Amino acid sequence: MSLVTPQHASSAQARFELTRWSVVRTLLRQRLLNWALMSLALLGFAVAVLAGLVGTAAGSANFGIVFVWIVWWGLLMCVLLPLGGRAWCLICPVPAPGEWVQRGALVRPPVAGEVGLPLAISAPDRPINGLPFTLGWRWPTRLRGIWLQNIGFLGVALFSTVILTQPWITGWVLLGFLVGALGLALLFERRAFCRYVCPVGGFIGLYSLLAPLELRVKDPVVCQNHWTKECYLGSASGYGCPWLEQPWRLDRNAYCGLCGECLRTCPKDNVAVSVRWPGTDLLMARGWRLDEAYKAFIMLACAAIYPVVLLGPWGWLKAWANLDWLPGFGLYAAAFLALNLVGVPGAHLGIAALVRRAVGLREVPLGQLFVALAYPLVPLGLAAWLAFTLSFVFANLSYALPVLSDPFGWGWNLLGTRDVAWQPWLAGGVPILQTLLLIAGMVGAIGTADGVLRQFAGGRRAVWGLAIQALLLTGETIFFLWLYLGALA
Amino acid sequence: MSWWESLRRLSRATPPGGWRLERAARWISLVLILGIPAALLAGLLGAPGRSGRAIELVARQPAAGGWSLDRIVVNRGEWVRLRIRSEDVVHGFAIGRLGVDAGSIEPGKTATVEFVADQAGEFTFYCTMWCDPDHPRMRGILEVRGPGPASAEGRPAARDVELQHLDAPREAPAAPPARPSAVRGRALYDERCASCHGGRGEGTDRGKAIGRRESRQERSPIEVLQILAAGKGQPASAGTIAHAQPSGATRVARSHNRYGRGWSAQDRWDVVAFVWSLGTSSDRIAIGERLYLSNCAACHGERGAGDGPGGKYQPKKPADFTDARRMLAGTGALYTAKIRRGGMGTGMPYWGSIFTEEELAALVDYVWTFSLGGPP
Repeated sequence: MSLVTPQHASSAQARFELTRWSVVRTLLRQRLLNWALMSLALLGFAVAVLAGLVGTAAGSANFGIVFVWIVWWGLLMCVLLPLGGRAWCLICPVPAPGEWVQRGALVRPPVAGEVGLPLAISAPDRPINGLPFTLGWRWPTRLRGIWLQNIGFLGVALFSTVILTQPWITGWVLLGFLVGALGLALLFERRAFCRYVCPVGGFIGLYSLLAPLELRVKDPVVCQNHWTKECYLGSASGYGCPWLEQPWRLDRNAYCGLCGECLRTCPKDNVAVSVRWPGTDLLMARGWRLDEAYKAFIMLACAAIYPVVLLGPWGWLKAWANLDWLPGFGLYAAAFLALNLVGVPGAHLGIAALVRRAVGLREVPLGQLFVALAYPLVPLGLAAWLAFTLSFVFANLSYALPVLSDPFGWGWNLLGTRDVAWQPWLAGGVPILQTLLLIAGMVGAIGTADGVLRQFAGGRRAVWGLAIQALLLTGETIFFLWLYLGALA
Repeated sequence: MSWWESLRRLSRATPPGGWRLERAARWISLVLILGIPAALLAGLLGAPGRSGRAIELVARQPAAGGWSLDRIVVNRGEWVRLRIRSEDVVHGFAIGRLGVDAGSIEPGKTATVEFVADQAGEFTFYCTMWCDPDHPRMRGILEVRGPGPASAEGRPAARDVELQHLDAPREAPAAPPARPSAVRGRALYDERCASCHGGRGEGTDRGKAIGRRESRQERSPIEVLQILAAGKGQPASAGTIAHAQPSGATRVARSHNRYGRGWSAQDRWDVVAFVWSLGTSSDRIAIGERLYLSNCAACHGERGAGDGPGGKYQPKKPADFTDARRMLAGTGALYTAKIRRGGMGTGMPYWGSIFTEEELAALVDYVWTFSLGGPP
């Protein structure tokens, strides 16, 4: 049994094209769509930053804390990411100012000869498009991949206890994201920040491999015979892919921001948004990379550390993570980084070596197998993050109503909901949902492991390897179940 | 070409599809960009509908700074609007002697109280919720300037009892075998005492009034017991009632000798409990209970046993009001003075600038109930 369609089974029949409906196609091709979504999000983002910087220090009454770490996080992890993959990247306000400055426009498409070269093959000596102070440099080759995103995420995660609870720190972090994205947009071409730096974008990209939504070319043959490549270079209908992807080569969700520019620019109407069987991308061996594998390990380790620190009964640990006592924080940081960078990857490396031996894959480099076997952690990791998210989102979601009326905690009552009392929602149902999600994650992980191993060895040889891998994934699932139903219950 | 010239060229360009959408988007964005600071400015300058003078007061745990203002100065007759915001934990706000109480304020919430400062003087505002080990120190001064009688702030701490007696050791020579019952005591009182002292202790031509509050101010319960028990071998020690009138007590006790005959020790304590209840009322006890629970229970415990959660942070264990030997050896005046002055090194704050005389009396009445029980 496999939740994941093996690569060879992936076909047009396994998809349902949403853009075959004219309503969907027309909507996604609207240039106004991106601006409207990002502007709305930017408005919320600005309020969150300001609330963090000048609003009340009480997190539960501050828009910055409640709407970023409860509402947005809940929406991202429970809806957007599992169902839409990188759908959030279509809405995300962080790159918006930089992109608008690069283009010198909020909505309108590029016009050849207007300012510099509006169509997009970058040249180091001139801007791609937009205003003259955007330099349009290419991103350094050495910094490509998601290693920077891994480091950024580890940094945010290490200080998360402080960031998640203190509005002013949240405000500065959000502002840092915005300024960082704007600064990089002035220096580098397109969405370099989103593609290579954004700590959130890193894990969204990884988990979007599991999503049942995809943007792909309909017929690769059409692209092979079409040389103008407007989808990458841009045209009078839209901009070249901001994510530096070549849509005709797109076979994974990881780096497609679903912005829809290629839908607008393709003169052959050869780009489609479809729903498909979840997890199809996980088995695309061409995309397996060490930086993504490390992202999977980091996400799994953090999914275990977060609930222990933030929800657990161990006050001393929370105090250490909260920087209450600097030597304690030093110990916590050392353990945190060791578990993320050495502990979890090391354990999986050992298991990969065992699998290699059991299956008899002497011809396959251990490193290659190690990377490939990290991808089964994607469904399990996402399930663990969903379980963690459920444990606090429903308990705290009711804070959103008073905060909407009084975002800064200044006593406003804009919508008349200021005095709505806090109450936990779905208190009884959360453990059941967590259990179901973790079991589904485990099944998906074992299914993915099966699909991965079959690409190295067929038939009965793969069974022993799968057994070892399944044992590991089951053990990890049991640990998470113990965490949510035992230790933290 | 300068970047400004580029901008100008850009704004003149006419892309396919016209400028309408782009221009509309720019206007909307501009409104949003200007709108947020404008809303913020409006919020900083004043909430919608605000009029007159408003004072912003931020409450933080004492360890984080306590009240944002230590002293608030207003003019007599001024309409005052205080907006109190809690920044960390649940706080409370009240102003002693003015009857201003904002109740509890949850983290991030703002409570507003409005009043006319019609009395000149200095009044203590304070947190009414246990918020920190140093919670009792979370106080500030509201200064009302202008002509008029000065407030009671700064009056001598012990008016009714000399200061040196406040901390004198005291211990009753006997304690009730069981918790006294004013209900049982009333039956015994009606049988032997009411004919002279009146059914409610109001006094008759044969016996003095013993149901007045002043009686309890002057005497301790153990003294009343000794009046009933005199001749039975339970004399009071000098230290026990050092601040009372031992010679008078002995004389009265002698005259009551025959009335206490045949009563057990518990009977006598029941009568004392009833006599003690005559000087108060259920309403007053209720006021005292409210004050006790919001101001004292954190250290002294809900049941007065000195086991409140805040007690462990104090330099000395809070007094146990259920300790009958200790409590029954003190007079109402003694306890009023102790509450008014504070604990002097024990961690107990002074309340003289906060409670009115009536509130002090009600509080003392309630504290007695821990060892003597309530009114019947």
